[in-house]
Amino acid sequence: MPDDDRIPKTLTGPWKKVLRCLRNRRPADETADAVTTALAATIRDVHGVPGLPDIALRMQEVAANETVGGSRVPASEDARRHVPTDVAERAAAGVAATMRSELALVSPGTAALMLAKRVVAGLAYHYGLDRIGPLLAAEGVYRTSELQDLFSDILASDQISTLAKRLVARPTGEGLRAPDRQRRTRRPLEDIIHMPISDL
Amino acid sequence: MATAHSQMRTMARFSVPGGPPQPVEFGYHAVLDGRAVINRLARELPPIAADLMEIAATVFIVDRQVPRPGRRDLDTGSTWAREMQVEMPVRLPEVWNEHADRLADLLAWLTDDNWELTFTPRIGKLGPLDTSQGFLFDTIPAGAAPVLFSGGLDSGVGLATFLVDADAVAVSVDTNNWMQHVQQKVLRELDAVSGHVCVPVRYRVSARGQKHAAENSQRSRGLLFLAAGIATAWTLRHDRLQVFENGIGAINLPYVRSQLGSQAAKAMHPRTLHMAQSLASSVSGRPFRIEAPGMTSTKAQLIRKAPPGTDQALAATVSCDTGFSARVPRHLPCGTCTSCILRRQALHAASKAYLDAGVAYRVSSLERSFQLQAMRWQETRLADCLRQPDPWNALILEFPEVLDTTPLTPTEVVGLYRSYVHEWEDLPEAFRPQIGRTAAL
Repeated sequence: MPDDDRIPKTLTGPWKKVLRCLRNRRPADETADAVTTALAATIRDVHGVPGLPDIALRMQEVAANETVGGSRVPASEDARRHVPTDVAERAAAGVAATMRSELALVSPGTAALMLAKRVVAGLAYHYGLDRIGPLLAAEGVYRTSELQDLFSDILASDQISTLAKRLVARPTGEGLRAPDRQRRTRRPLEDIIHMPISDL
Repeated sequence: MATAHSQMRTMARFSVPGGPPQPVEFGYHAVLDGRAVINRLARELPPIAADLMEIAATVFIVDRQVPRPGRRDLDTGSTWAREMQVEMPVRLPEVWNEHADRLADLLAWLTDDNWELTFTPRIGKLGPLDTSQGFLFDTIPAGAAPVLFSGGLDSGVGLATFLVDADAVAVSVDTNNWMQHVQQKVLRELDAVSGHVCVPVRYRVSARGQKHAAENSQRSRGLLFLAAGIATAWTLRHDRLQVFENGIGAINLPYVRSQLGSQAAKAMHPRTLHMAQSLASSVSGRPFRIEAPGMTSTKAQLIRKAPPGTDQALAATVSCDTGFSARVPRHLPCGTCTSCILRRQALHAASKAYLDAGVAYRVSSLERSFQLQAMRWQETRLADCLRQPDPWNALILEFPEVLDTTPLTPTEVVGLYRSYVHEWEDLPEAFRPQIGRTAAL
């Protein structure tokens, strides 16, 4: 029964910046940068997911040989104490239960990357986006579905994908940095003035 | 010396890593009052039942005394889990030590904590549920079945529906006088319109000398309620217990992904009931069954099934998270906690909003309610999943927690959430966000 449900709402500094970007309806790429930076900082602060390679391996084993019997794979004691490990084990359970054929065809490294992408998204939602979303909806700034689409787009970006690759390389999160912002090069005003409209 | 030794064997102790053992003794640090049950049933609780109730009450008291990790820990990756070591005196230590891991697993599921439990022989004075008196008459109607009754809307509807066909023993646990008052009022109203007998029995559990609990999440409440029901069923020589909870509230998927584990409470989750009935069967050596007939229904669907004439009783039920708190002025429901919102949503969807028409909420408007938007956030994600070609797989990927809902089937779970989403889509404007207001910058 929903009985005194606890819904964490607090945000660390980098996620407050994401909140400000969204509130002020800053351009999408600027918001995406803020999310990537916040996510990298969070992964460092929470010490990554040290067991990521093992969880990915177990995810493949379970998908190949077993029935997923609960919401965590492998349901370790670490997951009870460490949020990123918990997030990773829940993601592993979901992937193992639904993507058996895909997991059977990929190498352990690829499986780890598949998991890492879901973990990075899960951490973004846990520490930031799912705390921000209902808040902005309550303030009347966005519609719920509009925000959810926006978050999905951000988390599908190349920057986030690169961050997931970096997490696989550095599962403890130590030294993990956000990928460089992909800035659009601004054309000089002169070029634009003399350019046919159809080329713009 | 002999007295001191004896006292040690009637007192539980708990500790956390790095801390000294602390005592929990009924009568000194905690109250467990089962006299109303014993007198009403006119029989003693069997040792296994008295043990279970005392264990659950002790755990509940310990749960309130150990604070969960603070924000600094949470921001650096910790969950809200705690490490608990508890030693408890019981009448049947061999039985409980043999099944300590099973009980610890149930507690870990309910609370997210790691529980290390040991049981010692109870020696010395009587426990709070022991009695030296004899009984002459059994006043319980033959066949009256034990059912759990909390004073909430689901249990009110469930009990009202149950009483259409059979007699019941309604088992309650209260922690303060206001909660007791509400439960008794609802039972009186139901009794007045029911054709069958409802025998109320109640346990009182509370901490003594503690104005504010060090920890107020109290996730072990689920064990306390179930233990009261199981212990009473055993005392009545029944092998089953009825609980009334809707499927949405029982499964209680996280509204947002910032919630993990038991931050979304699991007191009547299908897995909780399964683990509790396995524990009851193991320690008693006899099969025990916990039945939850509302598990595949939404709250609104349950309300629609309420027998005619029960409106007054249902209007007296309390759903608010803080509605039973003794400290809330005039005991008004807040109107904006997830429990209040689910009640309001369900009453609207069941065309029975008039039941709460006379209720003054502490916060009357749902505008700017984070909780409402968190619920809508979840509902939007659920709707997206249910639109996919394989909605069960989509639900698993979005809400891995649905993997914990066994023994419900995927078809039942998908059907349940389809109904729930449909109910939200049909709700009036008050439940919808208003877009276009100026945001607070």
